[in-house]
Amino acid sequence: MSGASRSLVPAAELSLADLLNRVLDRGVVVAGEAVVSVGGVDLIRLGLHLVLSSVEAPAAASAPLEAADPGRSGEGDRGGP
Amino acid sequence: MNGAYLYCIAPIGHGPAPGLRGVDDRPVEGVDAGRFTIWVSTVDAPPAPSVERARRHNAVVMAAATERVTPIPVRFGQWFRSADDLVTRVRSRESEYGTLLREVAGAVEFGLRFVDPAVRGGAEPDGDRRVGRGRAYMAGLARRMAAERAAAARGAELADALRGALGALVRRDRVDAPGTATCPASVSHLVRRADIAAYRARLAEFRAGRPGLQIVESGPWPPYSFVA
Repeated sequence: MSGASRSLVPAAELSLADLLNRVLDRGVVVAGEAVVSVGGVDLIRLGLHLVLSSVEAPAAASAPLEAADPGRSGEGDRGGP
Repeated sequence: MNGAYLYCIAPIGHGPAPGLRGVDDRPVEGVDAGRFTIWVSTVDAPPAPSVERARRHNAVVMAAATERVTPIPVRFGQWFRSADDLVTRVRSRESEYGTLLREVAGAVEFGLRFVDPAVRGGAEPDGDRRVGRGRAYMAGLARRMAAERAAAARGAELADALRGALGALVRRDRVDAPGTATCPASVSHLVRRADIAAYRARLAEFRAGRPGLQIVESGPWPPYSFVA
C-alpha cells in the first residue's frame, strides 16, 4: 500500500480498517441464510465493531495484509452498504 | 448439511485455480449459474465475522480479479443451504449482475483517507475529560461538536477538490460521511486499470499542492464500494 510517508495512524491499522470496512460492510448482498440483523440490530456492522474493538494495534501491525494487486490474477436483501 | 459460502460473481468460465483455499481453509470452487461462474466454498453454516475470515474472503476475491476480469465482490457472510438455492437466486438477478459486471469491467477501486493534523489538534480539549458535569463539560462538548462540523465541511471541500483534480481518471467516486475530526473524509474511486499510473501521478500532484494534509491511499481493491 502506498500513501503518506508519515501517517498519524499506523499504516497496518489503516489497512486492516480498509479491509474490514470493504469486506464486512460493502460488496453485493445476494441474500441467503446469513443473519444480517436481529431485532433491528445490523449484525454485520456489530460484528465489524466487535472485530475492530478486539484487535490490538501490535497484533494488527504484525499481521501484514496480502498484496492488493488484481493485475496479477439472512435474511433479506439490503442491496448494499 | 453442505451449504455454499459465496465470495464473488464472475463471468461464465472464469473459475478458481485448482487448490485455491478460502475461509476456514475450505477449497474454493466455481459453480456455473447462467451467464456467471460463482466462486464458493462448501461450509456447514454462515461463518461469523473475524479478522482472519475477512482476510481469507478478500484473498479469494482478489484471486478472481485479473487483467481481463473484474468480479463482483460479495459481502462477507453470504451463505446458502445448497448450491442449487444459490444458483436459483443468482439466475433470478441475472440482468442486475450482468449490468454490474459491465460497470466495473476493467476497473479497480482505490481508497483515500484524508488525515488533517490541523483539525485533529483542535478537537480534543483534554482538560474537559476530568470534569464529568457542569458548565465546563458542556463547553467542551460544544467545542467537540463544532470541531466535528468543521471536519465535515473540510471533508466535503477536500472531496470536491480531489474530484476536480482527477477528472475523467475516476470513473465513479464515493464519499463517505466523515467519522472523526482526525479523518475528515474517506473517498473511494473506481479507476480503469489502464489509468492507474496516471491516477497516481495526478494524486501525487494533488498531495504536493497540500503539504499540510496527509492522504493515505489503499488499493487497488476489487470494486466492493461500487456494486451496491
